[in-house]
Amino acid sequence: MEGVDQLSNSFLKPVGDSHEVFRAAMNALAYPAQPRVLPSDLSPCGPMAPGSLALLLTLADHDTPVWLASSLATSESLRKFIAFHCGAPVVDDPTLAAFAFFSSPLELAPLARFAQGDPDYPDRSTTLIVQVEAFDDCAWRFSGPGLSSPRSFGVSPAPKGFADMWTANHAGFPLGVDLLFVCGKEIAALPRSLRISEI
Amino acid sequence: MSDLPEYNFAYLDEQTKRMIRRAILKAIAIPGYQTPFASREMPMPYGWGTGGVQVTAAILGTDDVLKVIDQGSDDTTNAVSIRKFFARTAGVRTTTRTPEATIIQTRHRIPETALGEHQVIVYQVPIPEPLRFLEPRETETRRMHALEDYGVMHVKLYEDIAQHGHIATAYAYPVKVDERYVMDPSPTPKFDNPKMNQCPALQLFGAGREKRIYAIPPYTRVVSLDFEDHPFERTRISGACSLCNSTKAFLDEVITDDQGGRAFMCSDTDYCEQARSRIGPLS
Ligand SMILES: [Zn+2]
Repeated sequence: MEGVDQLSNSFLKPVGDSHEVFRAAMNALAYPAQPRVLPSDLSPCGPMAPGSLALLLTLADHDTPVWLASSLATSESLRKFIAFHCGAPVVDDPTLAAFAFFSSPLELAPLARFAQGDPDYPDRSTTLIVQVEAFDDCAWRFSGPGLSSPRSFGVSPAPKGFADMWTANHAGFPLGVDLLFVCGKEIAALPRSLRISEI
Repeated sequence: MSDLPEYNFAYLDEQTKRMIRRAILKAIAIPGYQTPFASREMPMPYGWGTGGVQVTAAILGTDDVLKVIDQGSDDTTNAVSIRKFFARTAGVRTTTRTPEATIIQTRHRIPETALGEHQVIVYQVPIPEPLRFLEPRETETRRMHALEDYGVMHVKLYEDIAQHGHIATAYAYPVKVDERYVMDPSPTPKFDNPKMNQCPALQLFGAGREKRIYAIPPYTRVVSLDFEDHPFERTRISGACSLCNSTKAFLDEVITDDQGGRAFMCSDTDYCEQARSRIGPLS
């Protein structure tokens, strides 16, 4: 849409580009709650930002059902993009999703509607990819694996009651969902292993 | 590296890499948990670390500098052929210097030189399940991890004490990761266990035959299992390296001549070389 040819809106160097995007996501989860560079030369597709599209192309394929928040689900061009470029089935049932995409963190609640994994296989959970307008460092304080000391981190717009949502998500550990936040050319992650406190 | 084909960089096809990468992300989010993945046939036998090779292939990029060690040495057949494999299939730079490497693939040791945030260490794992010798059934060990039911592991270690007066397990000494999962650190000497605790580098473990990937994120608490009256002890051969004089590094005993002469040497060959170049040759 808007003049962008979505058929050619893809990685110029599929191997190298998806590698860089993966390493950004891996490092974001390994060193969580801190923004880092998410390389992407893609154009937006409807309401979906280039960073989210880059993660979609890097991580999703026909083995990974994708769920779209209502703000994204209505975009016909996005559905075509997913069908054409990665072949992932788009599902309505969030418990079936390997990945869930959001155009705003205000759509996140409730986290418990997504796959949480099961006790023998906690990895069978949904990874949530969320577009935000900005990262800020004063909303919440996180501690846990990947952090040498507690770290403040926040997103805007901030979802109401996020600290309670995240407390509940972490309380189910090893079950739970993991969040990848995308802001322009940056990514930051919250793995389920992190504990939260409000500042 | 324009003369290399774009596809099958580092041997694996892109779909396989995506699958392994998804498993790695889950493994990082659930420290110490064994994430299943669909292990591929690699052009080397299982004993050669195909799990570690697949993890390395999935994370490796053209800017990486790869170091491969086997029992601490960069020069064994296993280490040399894995290094050559990635130099050939990915065109990456390789090194023997620990601080220069961005990815270190290892079998049986953690380098003596402290790792940093710019590094990832990939362990080759033969048997990822620490409870396997106590419970052969996979469904049962999954349950035990789910219920955090690690009583059998403590019983096993306690039997060690009853039999030997101390915990005799010297390799693959089990650890607890972030106070949740009991994990096999791969057959590293227990001397290396404390290096896993609060390590600034990401640690990834790949088991090819058993199709498992697990991880210790950076700055994560890793505790060796022990008992109040029998605390974990970090052991090494006491003595100094005959080449660099180190009294801190982990030593191997080597036969020096056919008269049965023996000497102790650092198992970490890069550490030993660097120490020698600093102090000059011992007389
Ligand atoms: Zn030495």
